[in-house]
Amino acid sequence: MKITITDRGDGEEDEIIIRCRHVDKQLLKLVYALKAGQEKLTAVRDGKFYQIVPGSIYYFEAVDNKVYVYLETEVYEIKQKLYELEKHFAGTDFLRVSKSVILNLAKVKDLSPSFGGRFEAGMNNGEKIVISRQYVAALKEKLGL
Amino acid sequence: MKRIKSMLFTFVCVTTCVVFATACFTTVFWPQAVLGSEILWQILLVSFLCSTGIFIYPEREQEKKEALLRVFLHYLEVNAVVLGCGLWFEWFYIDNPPMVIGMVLMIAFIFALVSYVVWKDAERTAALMNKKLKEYQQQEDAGQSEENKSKNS
Repeated sequence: MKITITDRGDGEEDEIIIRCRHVDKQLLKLVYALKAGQEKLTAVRDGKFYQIVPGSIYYFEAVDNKVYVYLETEVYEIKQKLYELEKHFAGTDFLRVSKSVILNLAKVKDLSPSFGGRFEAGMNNGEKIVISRQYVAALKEKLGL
Repeated sequence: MKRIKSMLFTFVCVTTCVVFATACFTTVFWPQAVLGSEILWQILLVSFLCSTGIFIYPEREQEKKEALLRVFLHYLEVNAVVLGCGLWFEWFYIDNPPMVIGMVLMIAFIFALVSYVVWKDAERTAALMNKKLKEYQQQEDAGQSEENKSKNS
């Protein structure tokens, strides 16, 4: 794929133009990643607002109608609902792995089996996240199995 | 379809183990017995009934405690099926304690063995997924560095 970067004029907005014969899966993934990866998420902790880069997120978890975003060591609350995040990050490294968790595959160290057909994702920060049996098929598909 | 596949996998494992256990049981308790062809159908029926136990595990998410409780319920179901069918097919007599104990031990052994095989299968799947995960992450890293190079040039 040929990549051309040109200077933009003053006052013009940064723009990415994709010229292709047809939009394939790989290209769609790239577009989604560009769209979702660049946008920072606004999160709250101790009454203060923070901007979070999606690439630094380990996982999102919904607990009692609130959605929390987990980084390596910090936890923040965000306004979006889990289904909104799932839609927003579709086609990126983020994947729904249970009713209440969306996981960043880029932060997964390893996967291991658990009880009742479930799997467990060992994260880079040592945490363990349960992957429900219903979502194992989606994970396999994402990994190309 | 996924559940039927899973049931068939369990059925194959259970049948293999039951044939093995039957061989051991008859050697110990019925050394002089001449077995008729009906024993094969009985084994297949018992294996089928035991493998339907996978429907004890729901499709929905479950807590670890609930999952463990369902494993226990499955074990009880297998005991009920095998002991019930065993009595009906006269594999053992209820007034013969060594035979009853032999059956109970055999059920425990087969249940543990099948669980082990299923666990090993899950471990194999996990190993494959880990391999694919590494490839996926390497691809992502390569894409990322390509993107950074483009930005810098």
